[in-house]
Amino acid sequence: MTAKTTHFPVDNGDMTLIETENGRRILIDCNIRTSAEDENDDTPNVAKQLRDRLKQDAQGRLYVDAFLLSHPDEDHCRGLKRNFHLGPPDAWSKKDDKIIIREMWSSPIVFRRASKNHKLCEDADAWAAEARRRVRKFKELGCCPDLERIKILGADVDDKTDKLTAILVMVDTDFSTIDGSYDYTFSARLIAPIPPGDDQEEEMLTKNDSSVVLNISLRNKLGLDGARYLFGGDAGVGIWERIWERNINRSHVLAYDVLLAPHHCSWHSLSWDSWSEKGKDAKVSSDARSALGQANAGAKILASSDEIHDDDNDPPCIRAKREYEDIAKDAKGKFHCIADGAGDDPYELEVTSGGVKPVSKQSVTTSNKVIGSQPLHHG
Amino acid sequence: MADTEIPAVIARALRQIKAHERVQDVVVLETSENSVAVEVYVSSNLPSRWLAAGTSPNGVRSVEPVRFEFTNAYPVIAPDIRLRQDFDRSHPHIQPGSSDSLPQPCILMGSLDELLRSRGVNGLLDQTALWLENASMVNLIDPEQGWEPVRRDHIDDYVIADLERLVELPDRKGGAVAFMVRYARDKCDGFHVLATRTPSKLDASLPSRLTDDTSVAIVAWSGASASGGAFLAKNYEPEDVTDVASLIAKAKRLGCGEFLNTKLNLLSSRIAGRSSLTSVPLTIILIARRPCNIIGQNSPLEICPYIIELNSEAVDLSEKSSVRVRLASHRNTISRNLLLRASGLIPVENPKPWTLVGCGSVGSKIALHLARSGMAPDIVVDKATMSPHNYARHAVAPSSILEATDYFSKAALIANTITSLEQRAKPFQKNIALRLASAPEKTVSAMLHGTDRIVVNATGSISVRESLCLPKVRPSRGRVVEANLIGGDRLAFLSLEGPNANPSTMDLAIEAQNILSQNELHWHLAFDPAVEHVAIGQGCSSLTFPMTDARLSALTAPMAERLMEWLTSGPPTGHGEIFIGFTPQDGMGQEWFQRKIEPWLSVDDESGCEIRISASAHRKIEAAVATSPRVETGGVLMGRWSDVANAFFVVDVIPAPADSVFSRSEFRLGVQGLRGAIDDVVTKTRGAIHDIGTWHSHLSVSEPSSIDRKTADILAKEQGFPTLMLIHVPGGYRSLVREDAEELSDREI
Repeated sequence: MTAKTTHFPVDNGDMTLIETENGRRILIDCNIRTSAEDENDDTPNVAKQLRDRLKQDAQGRLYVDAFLLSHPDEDHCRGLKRNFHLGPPDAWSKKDDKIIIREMWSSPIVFRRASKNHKLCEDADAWAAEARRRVRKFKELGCCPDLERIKILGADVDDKTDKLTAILVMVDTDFSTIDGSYDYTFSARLIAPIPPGDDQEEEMLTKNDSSVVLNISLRNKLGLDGARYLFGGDAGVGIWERIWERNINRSHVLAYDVLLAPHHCSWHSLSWDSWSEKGKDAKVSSDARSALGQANAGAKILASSDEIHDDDNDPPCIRAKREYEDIAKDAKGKFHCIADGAGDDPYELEVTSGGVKPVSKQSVTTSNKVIGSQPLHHG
Repeated sequence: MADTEIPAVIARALRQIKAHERVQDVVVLETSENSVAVEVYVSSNLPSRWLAAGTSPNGVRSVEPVRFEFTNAYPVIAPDIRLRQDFDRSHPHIQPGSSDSLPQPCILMGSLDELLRSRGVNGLLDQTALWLENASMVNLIDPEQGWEPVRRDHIDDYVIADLERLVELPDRKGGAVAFMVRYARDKCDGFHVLATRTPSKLDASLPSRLTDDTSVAIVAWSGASASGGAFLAKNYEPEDVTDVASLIAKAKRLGCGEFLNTKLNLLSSRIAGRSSLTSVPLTIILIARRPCNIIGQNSPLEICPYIIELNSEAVDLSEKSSVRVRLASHRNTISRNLLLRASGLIPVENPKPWTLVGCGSVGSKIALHLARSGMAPDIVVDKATMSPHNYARHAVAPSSILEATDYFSKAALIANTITSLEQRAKPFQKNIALRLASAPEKTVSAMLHGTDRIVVNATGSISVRESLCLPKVRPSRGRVVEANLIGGDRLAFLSLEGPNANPSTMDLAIEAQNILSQNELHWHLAFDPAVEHVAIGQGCSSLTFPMTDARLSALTAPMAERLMEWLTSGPPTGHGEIFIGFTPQDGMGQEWFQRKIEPWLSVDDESGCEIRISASAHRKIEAAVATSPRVETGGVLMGRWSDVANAFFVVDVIPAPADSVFSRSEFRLGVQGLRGAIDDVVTKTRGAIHDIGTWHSHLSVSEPSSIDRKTADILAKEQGFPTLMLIHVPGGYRSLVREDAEELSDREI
């Protein structure tokens, strides 16, 4: 199979499914609104779109090999409890038919106590509880059992993650395992969350800024480069500045063929100024722009957001869109808002040795297009 | 030119083209009375990095101009679709053509006209866009799918040769060899050339051997490369051979130029100066070794055939010769492996052999289904000859009125047809039942040769079934499959013996009757008095029941499929199997159910007769004994007696009625409701299953008592065949077989 990414139409929210060439499926965030399941509502049924793209295990359970929650905000984990099985695998029921998460990829924020700056919605709470349950299991057994794996992306402050080395991915390192096994068509570099400098900084860090920033490289089976995807959750301008500072001498780790514009194309990922207040006087942070500007030739910058209008709104912000269009233009690439796609269908990209391209709506061979479109008479 | 009005139907097509998602622009190039040519700018959907560069590494542009030429025949005939002049012709899926003409993409494996009919102009555009997209990715040749051979459609010359034979020729050294060929010229002036299998020398006698139906073919192949490995023709290139010079140049690129040249020089010298040479086709076949297997074949060798029409004016076969060379297309002859591949099966070295007994309607269908899949039986047996009415449902149609009335041997007819499918079957027009009874060893050796063989009994004959179970036959033959229709045109029966004929084909037949008797609809269909003469156990002959060929084929086909599975994957070990297929009155749909049948118990009685007990009857007896451990218990044995096998077949038991008496010293079989229960089974199965005796338990290992003997005598008097009294003792059975009140034996096992 060809590696593919599916970007679901979830308005201001994130939901991306990655399928590696070896057939592993990684879901990054979800925003499954209840209205999506209402037939009389226009919201695209992304739950069904997702389920249609997943495989079943021998017990008939749909599953994702890994689920990355970039950060515990509602627009990134909405519908988690309703659509995904949380708790011991034995408790899965055919009646509920929820999706199994074989391996959770979570930021260490799940270990943090709720505070003024750290209030969690119900789905985020459920994620944190499940993550803690899996970590406990890991501590008890010394390893993660099948269907209950977890990776912690980034070390936490106060050495809370010290005893978790086997399931911990440190910032500025690469990993190629998905659900406990190596996939040579996949590798990912963890760029953030960058550990906070001190307690005070920790306290100040918003959930957005705790976002996992990951540069995922999808290769084909011959080991040839396919495409690199930069995902940054809702990380704000301060984080992007620090990322640039940290990687200024190795900017290739930030290079991408596809960038999911952070925070639904928010101006706050590119600037300290308020767009609605300063308007055209708002200034771009040059470092943040550099961190987000390492576009390969032909790169696509995607906004997973509402339609972008020329107004004061943020996110999505027209000024941010213009900045990204600028970045794309320099690379002879393109900016694309997922909400502008055709109808309710997700936006799908196919990964090739020449980068990414939209999945053709036709079949993929020259010979059998007719087969299946009409009965074929054989003499 | 542009002043001619575009016909409405073409204008409509142009509008549709313009509206296609992947089309960026349409420019009318020229219009005339006869045609309209337009340039369509089609997006190639290049991936991001190449899109930024404007072109793929292999030269496909992000937007390609494609020329569509509509003629007056549109929309009956699809427009001619061409690429720009400088499009890289080395792409696979470009039709062969001269370098003067625009490259023609082969956008569909099939007819463009048909595509236009079914999917309209959009279909053409879809395929064109997809072709460009694939061309940019160089994945028109996908190593997993295989090497795409150069297309040679619409070519008038055919070379018919056995592919298997051709691909056996190449060796490490490389070489060329000549064959004599038969040929015929067809109406379009193309040659049909049939290659022989035996190489021939190009000696002085050659000119005299070139006649109006015989000519010569040269096959050349590559050897090792300079580095020592096999020479690989890695480059996909369009067909550019037009004359002898370009043919030799091509052969050189394929690594066999020298070998071809040598043969051509020899041939040339043999025919030089023969002014009387009439026009004969010289066939050249180049065998190219590709880096991956050719699509649809399990060999990387591509066959490239050409025809040179030799006559007294065209005898120059040198490297500079401009004598015309025509492209030919290769047509394979039928071979077993070809049939296997076309059926999606993998050729195996030593396929499991099988004998077909019964070449009537069911047997002939099964034989030909398998023969067409390259798995024909190698022995076919049928005692009968064809009668005209047999052709109503026989797989083979008569080739003439004479043949239809000529009382042809059924076995020979099937064997001949198998031969036409390039396989071999030895026919026997013999009554196998009679032969097995009179000369078992000889018959087994000739017709059922070897224990690894599958014997398919499609006769529907009980005598055949039973003779296959004769004591001297059963141990020395392979597993028997029985296939026939039961009781008309709605039930089909397929069984497979277990290993060592346990359960045997007879055991399975009676098991099937027992199973059928448990479903009201099934037993009505199987044992309906109206079709009694065709029911299993009642002298089945499915030919005599009127039904359509279609219905018979529909029920037979799944049985052929299952047989194929057994022949390719091997029959299951450890048990036998029964399949019963059911079709509704109107024949629309089928339902098959399967039962695994465990081995039967066999008890040899001293009298020489065998007592066979089904696993389920044995379990019922054991269960009854277990529930009454302190008293004797018993019941009625249901099944049948076979004179041929000299055996009892116990398929089921009826429990003791309520008024039976159970005590430590005696079991008394009551009567309450018993007759009714027995009659029920007998009526349902039209007597195929009936009471054959009784069973009871002894609490200790002991001989049949005097009471037992008396009872057995009473039973025997009322029975036209031997009666069986089966005694369950701890650890086994004892038997008491009585006939005409005369005690034959009693023995512990």
